[in-house]
Amino acid sequence: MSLLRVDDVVVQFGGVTALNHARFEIEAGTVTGLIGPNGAGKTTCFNVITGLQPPTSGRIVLDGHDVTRMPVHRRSRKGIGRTFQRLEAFGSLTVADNVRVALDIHDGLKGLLRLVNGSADLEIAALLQRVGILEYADERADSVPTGVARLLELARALACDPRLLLLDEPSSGLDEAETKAFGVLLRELATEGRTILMVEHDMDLVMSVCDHIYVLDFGAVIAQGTPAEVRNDPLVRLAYLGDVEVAQ
Amino acid sequence: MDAFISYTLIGIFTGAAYAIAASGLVLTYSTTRVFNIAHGAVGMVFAFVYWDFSQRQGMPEWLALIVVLILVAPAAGVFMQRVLVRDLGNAPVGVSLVVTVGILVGLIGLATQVWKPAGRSAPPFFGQHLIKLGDNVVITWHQVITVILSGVVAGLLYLLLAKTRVGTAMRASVDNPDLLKLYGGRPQLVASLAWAVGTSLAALAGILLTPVIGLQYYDLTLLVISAYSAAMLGKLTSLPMTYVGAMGLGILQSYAIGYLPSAGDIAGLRAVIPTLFLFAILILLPQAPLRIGQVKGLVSAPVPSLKKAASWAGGLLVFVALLTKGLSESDLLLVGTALTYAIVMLSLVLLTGFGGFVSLAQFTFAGVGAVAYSKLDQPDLLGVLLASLIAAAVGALVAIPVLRLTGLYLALATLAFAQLMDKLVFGASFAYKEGAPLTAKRMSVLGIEFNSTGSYVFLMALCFVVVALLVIAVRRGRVGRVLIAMRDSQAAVGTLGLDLRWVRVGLFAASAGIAGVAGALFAGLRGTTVAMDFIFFQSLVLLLMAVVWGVTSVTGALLGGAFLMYLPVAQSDHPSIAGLLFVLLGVGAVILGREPNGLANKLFQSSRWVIDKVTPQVAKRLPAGAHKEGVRDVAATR
Amino acid sequence: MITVTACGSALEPNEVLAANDAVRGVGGTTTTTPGAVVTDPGSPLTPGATGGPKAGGGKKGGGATGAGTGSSAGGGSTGGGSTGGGATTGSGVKAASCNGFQNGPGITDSTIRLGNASDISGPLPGVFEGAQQAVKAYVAYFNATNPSGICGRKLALDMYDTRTDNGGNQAAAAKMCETDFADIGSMSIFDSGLAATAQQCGLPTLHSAAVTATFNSCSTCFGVNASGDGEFPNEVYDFWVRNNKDATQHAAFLYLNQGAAAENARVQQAVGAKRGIKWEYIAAIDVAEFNYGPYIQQLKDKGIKMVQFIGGWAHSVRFLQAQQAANYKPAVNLFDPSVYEPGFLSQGGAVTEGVFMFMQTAAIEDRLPEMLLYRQWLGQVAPGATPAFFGILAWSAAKLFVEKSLALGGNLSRANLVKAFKTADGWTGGGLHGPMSVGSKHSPSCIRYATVKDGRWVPYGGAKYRCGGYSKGS
Repeated sequence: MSLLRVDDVVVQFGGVTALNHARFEIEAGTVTGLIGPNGAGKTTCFNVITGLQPPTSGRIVLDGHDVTRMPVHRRSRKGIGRTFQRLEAFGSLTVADNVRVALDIHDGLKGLLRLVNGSADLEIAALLQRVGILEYADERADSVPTGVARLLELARALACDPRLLLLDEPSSGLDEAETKAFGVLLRELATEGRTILMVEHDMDLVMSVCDHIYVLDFGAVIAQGTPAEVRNDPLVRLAYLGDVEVAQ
Repeated sequence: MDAFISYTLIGIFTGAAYAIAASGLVLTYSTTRVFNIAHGAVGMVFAFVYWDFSQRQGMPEWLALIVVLILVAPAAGVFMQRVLVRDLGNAPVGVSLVVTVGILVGLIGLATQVWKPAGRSAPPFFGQHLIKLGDNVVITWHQVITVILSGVVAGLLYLLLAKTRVGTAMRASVDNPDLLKLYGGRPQLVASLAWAVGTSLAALAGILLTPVIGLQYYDLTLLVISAYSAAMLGKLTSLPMTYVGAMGLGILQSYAIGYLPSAGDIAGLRAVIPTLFLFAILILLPQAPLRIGQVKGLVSAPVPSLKKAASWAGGLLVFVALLTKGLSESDLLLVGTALTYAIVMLSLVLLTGFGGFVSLAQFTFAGVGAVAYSKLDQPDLLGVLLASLIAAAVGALVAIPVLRLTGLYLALATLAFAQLMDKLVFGASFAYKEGAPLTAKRMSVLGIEFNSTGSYVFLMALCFVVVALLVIAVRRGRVGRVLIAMRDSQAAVGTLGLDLRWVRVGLFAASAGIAGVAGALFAGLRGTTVAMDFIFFQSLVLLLMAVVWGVTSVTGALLGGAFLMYLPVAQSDHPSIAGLLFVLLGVGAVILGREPNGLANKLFQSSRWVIDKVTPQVAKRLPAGAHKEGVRDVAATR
Repeated sequence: MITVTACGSALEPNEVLAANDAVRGVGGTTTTTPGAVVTDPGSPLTPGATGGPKAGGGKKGGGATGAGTGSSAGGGSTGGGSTGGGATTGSGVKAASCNGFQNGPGITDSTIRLGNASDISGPLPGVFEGAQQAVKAYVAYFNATNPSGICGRKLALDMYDTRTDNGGNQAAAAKMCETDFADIGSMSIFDSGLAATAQQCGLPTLHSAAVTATFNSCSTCFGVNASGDGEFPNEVYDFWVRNNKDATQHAAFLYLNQGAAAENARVQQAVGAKRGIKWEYIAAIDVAEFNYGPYIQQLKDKGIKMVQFIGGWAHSVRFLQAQQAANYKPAVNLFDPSVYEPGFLSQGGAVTEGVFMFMQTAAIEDRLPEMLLYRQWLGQVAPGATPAFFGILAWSAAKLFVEKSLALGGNLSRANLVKAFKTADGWTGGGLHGPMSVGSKHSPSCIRYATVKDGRWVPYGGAKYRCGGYSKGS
C-alpha cells in the first residue's frame, strides 16, 4: 500500500484552477520528484497535502486514512513534515533555536513545561551537523544565506521525526558541492526509512536522486515514471518548452 | 401592515447604505488582502470634504459630488494604496491591522483638526420632499436615491469584475497574487484601481449617510462595523453575498426597533445587532487556512537577562518612590494612570509583541477587571487575583468562537466583543448600571494598607515590575520561543505540529488576565470608575501607542503607558492642535507598524551604538564566537 | 423640604420667600403631593417679580447694562440693596467682620483662589466651557467692582479641564485640594470622579448642576441645580396634564443611552407617571444608532401625541429631522435645556418650530439685571462667547460663593463655607432662576416653559416660574 495518495484533487482560486484533478501515489521509503513549470500547482499540491490549503474537491489519503479534513498540526503528528519554497524560518530566532522550537513543539505540552534544556542541546547540534550548517547555530535565521535557511528548514522538519518529508525546492541557493552533499543526505534519509517528496528545478539532482518522478502541468499530472522514462517523454518536453497550445 | 412596510423600507434604505460601504471594503480587501479598518473613517473625512465644497465653499451639489467621487477620493485611495498600505498584503495580518487602525485614528485627528467641532448641517438630496405611498407610509427622495445608487454601484461593480480584463485580474488576485503575476497581470495596478474605487465607495456611503447621521467624527467612523458584518457574510470576498448581508442587516435592525421590546434588560440588544450578526457569521465561517508567506524576523528588541531586568526594575521602583515624595497628589494620579496603561500594554507585549495577534479590546478586558474588582469588594491581593482570573476567562471566551479562524477574524471578533461590552454588558445592572460609577477601595497587601495615593502608586509600580519580570521570563523560556516562532510563521509551527488554536486561547486568556490586573489596580487608584474609562476607542489608541513605542519590549510598554496618559493631557493643554496629535500618532503607527519593535528599540540601538563607540575594546573582546565553539565541541563529542 | 430652613429668607427678596413658602406648601411630605396643592400656575414667582425682569426693572436694567457700575454699589460688601441693583451681588448681605481671618489652602494675604473644573475637551469639545467662562466673568466683575474684595482679598480663578472623563475630575479635584480654596461653578458629566477626593480634603464644591448620585452623596459637594436622590420637578408634567390632557395620555419617552442618561430617564419617567402621564412607548436610543426612522414609525403607529426626548442638542435635531422625514408631528415635542444652545436653532431650522423646552433658569434674552450683568461681563472676559444655560447656573454659583464668604467674614474657612452652603436653600441667584434647594440638595421645584417661534425661543405660558414641588422618581 502506498504511503500517500493524492486522489483527484481540485483547487480553484477565484477563476483560476491551480490543481485540476491531480492524482498520484507515493511508496514508502522512496524519493519522489514532483516537477513541472512555474505555476503548475506544485506548491499548491504541497499545501493541500500538509493541510494548509483545503482542496475544492478530492481527497488526501495517508497510510490508508483519509486526512483531507484533518488540521495541519494533526497531520504533522501523523508524520508529515515539510520545508517551504518561500522561506518560513523563524527569523527572530537563532538557527539553533529554530530547531529547539521544533523539538519543543514535537514534545508537546511536556516539552513546553520542561524546565531544563537537558539533552536538547546535543540533539540540536547533531541535527545541524547532519544538514551541514552547525557553524551558523548562533546566528539569527533571517541573516543567514538562503541556502542555509533551506537546510535549516530541513533540520527543523527532521526534528519532528517525519515519515513523509515534503521538500519545496530545497537545493536553490546551494552551490554545486553543497547540492551534491545534499543529494547524498537525501538518499541517507530514504535508507533510514523516510519517504521524500521533492519539488525541484535542478534536473540533475532530480534525475540522480529520485526513484520516481511525477510531472505536473496546469494542475494535472501529465507524465510519470522513472527518471529515464520521464526524460524521454515528449509531453514533458513540450511542457518545459512552454508550448501550451500543443500540450493541451 | 403600513408599519411593516415602513420598517421594511427604512431597512432597505439602511441596507443600501451599508451595501455601498461594504462593497468598497470587499473590493480593497479581496484585491490586496488588506482589511481596511479605516474604511468608515475614510467615508467620514470625505463627507466633510463634500460638505466643505458644497456648503462652505458654495459649489453646486452635483459638481461637489463629482469632484469628490471622481477626483479627490480616488486620488486619496491611490495614495493610501501606494504609500500607506503598500505591500501590506504580504505582511502579517497584525501589521496591516495596526497600520489601518493608525489611518483610522489619524483621519479622525485630521477631521477634527481641519473641521473644528461645530454644528454643521448637510441637507439631504432634494431637500425634505416626501413621497407618500398610501396613507401612512412616507419615504424621502434621499432614501430613494440611496437605494438607486446602491443598485447602480452593484451593476457597475458587476460589469467591472465580470466583463473587463482588469476585473478578472482583480478576482484572480483574491487568493493568489503570485498566480496573477504569472498570468501577466499587474498586481500593483490592480491594487491601485481597487483602492481608488473602494475609497470612492466609502466616500459615497459617507456622503449619503451624512444627512441622517450628521457630520459626526465618530458616528460615521464606527458605522462601518455594520459594513464589516455585512461583508463578512461574503467572507470578505463575495460581493453578491455582501449585498445580501447588508440588506439583511439593515432590515433586521429596522424590525428590531419595530418589534423588539424597547425598554427593559434586552433593550440594549437592538444596538448590538450588527455586532451579534458579525459574531454569528464568524462562528459559522469554515476553517480558515493558515497564512503562508515570507515573513522575516520581526522581533529584534533585545531580551534582557533576568538579572539585568531586575536591576532596572529596582531602578524604576526607586524612581517611583522618589516621585511619590516629590509630586503633588494630582500629578501622582497621573503617574498611577500611566502605570495602569503600562500594565495594559504589557498585556499587548505578550499578545501582539510575542504572539503576533492583534486585539482591539484590551481596555475592555481592563474594564472587566475593574468591574470584577469593584463588585467583589475584596480589596486585597485575592480580589485582584480573582478580578484577573475573571478577565482571563472572558479573554478565553472571546478567542474560542473564532478558534478555527485566522488573525484577522480574531481581531474583528475582539472589536465586536468590545462593542458588545460597551453597549450591552458594561451598562447592565450588574456593572455600571445606567451609567452610574462603581466605587472601589484600594487594596491592601497582607494586611498592609496603601491608602495614600503615594504609597498606592508605589504599589502599582511594584505590580508593573512583577508583571514585567513575568513577561520577560516567559520570553526567555520555551513558551516565549514558541510564541515568537508562531509570530514569525504560523504555517511553519503548524506543520511542526503545534495546535495554534489552543495556544491562541491561552495567550488571549493570559493577556486579558494582565489587562484585568491593570483594571483592578486602576479602580483602586480612582476610587470610582465609569464605563467611559474603558470604551472601545481607547483600545485603538492604546494599540497604536504600544506599536509606536514598541510592542516587543517592556521598555516600550512603559514609555507607551506614559505617553498614553499624557495624550489627553496634552490635548487639553493645547486644544488648537488636539487633532494634530492624533494625526501624529496615526502617522507614527503607519510608519512603525511594519517594525513592531518601535521607538524603544531605536533607543536600545542608539544606546548600544554609544556603548560600541565608547568602549570599542570591550565590544571587540566580547566572545561572540565562544558559545558557538562550545556547541561545536559538543557536537564533536557525539 | 424635610426641614424648613429659614436662612435663605434673609438674603432674598420677599417674593422669593413667598416662592419658598409655596414650595414648602407643596412639600410637607417628601415625594408626590396631590396636584391640588400645587401653586396656582399663574402665581408670579421670583425673578420676574423681583422688580427685575419684566417690568420697569428690566428696562432700567437695560440702562444698567452699564449695570456693572450700577451694581458695583450693590456688589460691594456693604449691602447696598439699591434699586435695580437689588438683584445683584450682596444686596442685603451683611459683610461680617473680618476679624480673625486666617489664610489657608488657596488663601493668601492678597488673593482667594477658586477653581473651576469643567468638561472642555473630549468627545464634545467645549461642551461646558460656558460654565467656566461665567465664573471667570463673575470673578472679573467682582474684582473690578469690589476694591476691598473679601476681607481685602481679590478673587483669582484657576481653570481646569476635566476632559469629559472621570479621571480628569479626580485629578482636578486633587489639584484644587492643593491650590484652591473652593471649587465653584464647575460642570462635568462625570462629576462622580471628584466626589471622593473633594470630600476627603473638605473642598467646598459648588457646581452649576449636580449630575451623578455619587456627587450627590458627597458631603462637601453641592449644585446650584441639585439632582436630589432621584428627584424631578412635578411641574414639567403637571403643566401638560393641565393644558393638554389628551396628549399626556398618549405620551412617549425617548432618550439617548449615554452616560447617566438612563438613570435620569428612569427618574423622569417615574415622576411623569406619578403626575399622570401615560407613557405608551419608552425607548433608549443607542448613541451609534443613526436611523431614527423606525422609532418615529413606532410613535406614529402608537398614535403618540406627546414626545419627550433627552439627548444633546445635535441628536435632538436629528430626532426632529426624522420626524419631519416621516411626516409626523406630535402635539407636544418636549425637550430639556440641553437644546438651549444656538446650534439647535441654527442647525434645526424649520424642524425646531413649535417644540417645547422646560427650563429651571431665566431666559438669556430676559432683561433681568443679573442676566445683563452676566452677559456684559461674559462679553468682557470672552468676547464673542454666547451666554449658555450652564453659564447662568455657574454665575449663580459664584454669586452664592461671594455672598456666603462675605457673610462669614473672618470665619471664612473651607469647613465653615461648606456649612454655609448647607443652609443655602431657596437661592435664586439674584433672579437668574427659581428658588433652588442648594443646601438640602433637592430637585428644583420651579420651572418655566419656552417654545420656538419664528426661529427664536419665546416664553410659553408666560415668563413666570411655576412651582409644583418635586417627586422622587426612584
